Amino acid sequence: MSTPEQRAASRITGTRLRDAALLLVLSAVVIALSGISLITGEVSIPVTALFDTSNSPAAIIAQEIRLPRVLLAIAVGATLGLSGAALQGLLRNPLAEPGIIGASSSAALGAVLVLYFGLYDLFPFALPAAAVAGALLAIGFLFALAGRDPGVLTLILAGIALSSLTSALISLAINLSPDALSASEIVFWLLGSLKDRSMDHFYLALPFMVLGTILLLSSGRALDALTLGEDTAVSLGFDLRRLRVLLITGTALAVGAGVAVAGVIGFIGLVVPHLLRPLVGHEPRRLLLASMVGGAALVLAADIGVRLIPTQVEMKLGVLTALVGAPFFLFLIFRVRRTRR
Amino acid sequence: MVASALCAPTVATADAPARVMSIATCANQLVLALADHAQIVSLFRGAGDPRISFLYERAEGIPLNRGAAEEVIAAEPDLVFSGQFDRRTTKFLERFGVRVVRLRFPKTITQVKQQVHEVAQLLGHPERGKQLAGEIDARIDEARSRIGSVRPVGVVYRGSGFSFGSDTLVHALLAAGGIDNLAAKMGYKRADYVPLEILVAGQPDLLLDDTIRGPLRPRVGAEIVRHPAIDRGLPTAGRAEFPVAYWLCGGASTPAAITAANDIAHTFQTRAIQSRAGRP
Repeated sequence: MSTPEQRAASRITGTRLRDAALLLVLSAVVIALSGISLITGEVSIPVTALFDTSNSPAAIIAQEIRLPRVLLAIAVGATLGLSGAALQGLLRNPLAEPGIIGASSSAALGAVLVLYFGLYDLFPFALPAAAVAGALLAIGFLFALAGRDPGVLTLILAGIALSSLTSALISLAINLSPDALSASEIVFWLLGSLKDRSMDHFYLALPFMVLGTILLLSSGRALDALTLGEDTAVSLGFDLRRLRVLLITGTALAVGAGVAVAGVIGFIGLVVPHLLRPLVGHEPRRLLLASMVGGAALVLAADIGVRLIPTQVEMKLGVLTALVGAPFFLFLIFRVRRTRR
Repeated sequence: MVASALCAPTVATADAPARVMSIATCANQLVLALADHAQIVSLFRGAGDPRISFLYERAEGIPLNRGAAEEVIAAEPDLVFSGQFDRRTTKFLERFGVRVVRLRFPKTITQVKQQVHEVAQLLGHPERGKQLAGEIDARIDEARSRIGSVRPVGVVYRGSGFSFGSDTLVHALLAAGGIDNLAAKMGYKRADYVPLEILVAGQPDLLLDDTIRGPLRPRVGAEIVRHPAIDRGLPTAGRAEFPVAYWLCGGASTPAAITAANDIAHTFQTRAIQSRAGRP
């Protein structure tokens, strides 16, 4: 015979164990995919080349080209998964995602402007800073337009409007670029890729991503309370205005920095929380950490995919995630419509 | 007209179009090289830009156009030269009875010479075509005589990782100058994106810079040429300038490009021989 307290305690231990097991499995997947990513590419090299201290071509390919690719996939995937989970919790809307609400394309516009006017050469940190500013403007605009509790339609419409505007401005930059080569380079930010990035890109984005991740993870308890409604959350002692500022800033930092170095990689923040929600239940706090590791795994897998799919020119990562993610998005819209009617 | 034709040493002048127009970057180069200044109604914009126009100095004072069909129709030229990508404009203009010659990008030096002869003939100056083609042959022979047993492996690697395979004029010019093209060795045929790891694995002796991006023209892809993998992976690779204006089009730039490639190969060869002899 156990008391209700004991039963509650054992339930909590049970979910903790389950969460820990899930995180462990996801982390193992991330590690395995990292290994595969390291040995996948145009030139075949052994994993051990990563620890080769000589300057052999294999060592350089492993350490200067493939390693940044793996680290960026993990960092970008983790921050996108986490941001998606956090935004869905904050907006209490299953369709919220950095790409769909227009934050990613606004960040891309910031990055393109910095490169277009040559600021990047003078001051490299201007690149992530401008992308973060772009994302911040987009999410801020969305909140101003849609209010605290936007309906599904308002959110999507506002996101489409924002994305169209920023895409048009990026297209303008392509349009006005002096030669075809510059134009094809700007397209990179629209399509997203981890090809031929360097450790410099990783170090450039990392501080912003770490700060953003800390802000997002720290808001888990408040998000849990928010699922009970705004009034209940306030009565439980959570400052909702502070929560919004934390989450908006955190998402902008994390997403902006990722877009600055890898371009727009969409739908990760939408797909990952949805896949993991059945496994962790409907508590946003538990979803945050799982989505972070899950996002890393998904982007790693997609980035291996673009190298294995036999196309003439390597497929862009953002194109692949959109090809998989957009139908998923449509499916979710149908489901949401059915349940909300 | 008739009187001047009788006095002129060349026969074709009587039939020569008095007013010609170019609506493409590479057509500009052939028109500038082979037409009389007074013959040219207008050139495609960019003709005065030294980065992409080899004969930019000669374009001074000549009006520029934007390659639109209506500009051509309004100008009423006797002959128009268009480019490989102007198929629709060409067809459209022909419907209006305009005489248009579409010039494709040459992929070999033989094709460059053919085009030079053809355009010179059309312009009424076949002797200029013969002279330029002869110049190209002379430079090829000169380059061949300077090519030793040590042929460097080089690659034209542009920002964002663009390079040129075996079916391109760049390849033909490098080969004539005595440089083996890495992109062709790695199996690339056309102009294409070549991943950085292929470049590192291929270990070229020379990285050839297209010189399109200076400090005043920073661009997104400019950073790939200073990727750490190149500094660490190709520490001994020499860097040389092989400007885009030399190899973008065929024409007066072709002899200069062959000699430029040959000079680069020759410098490399001299250094290789010196270092083998133990001298610095």
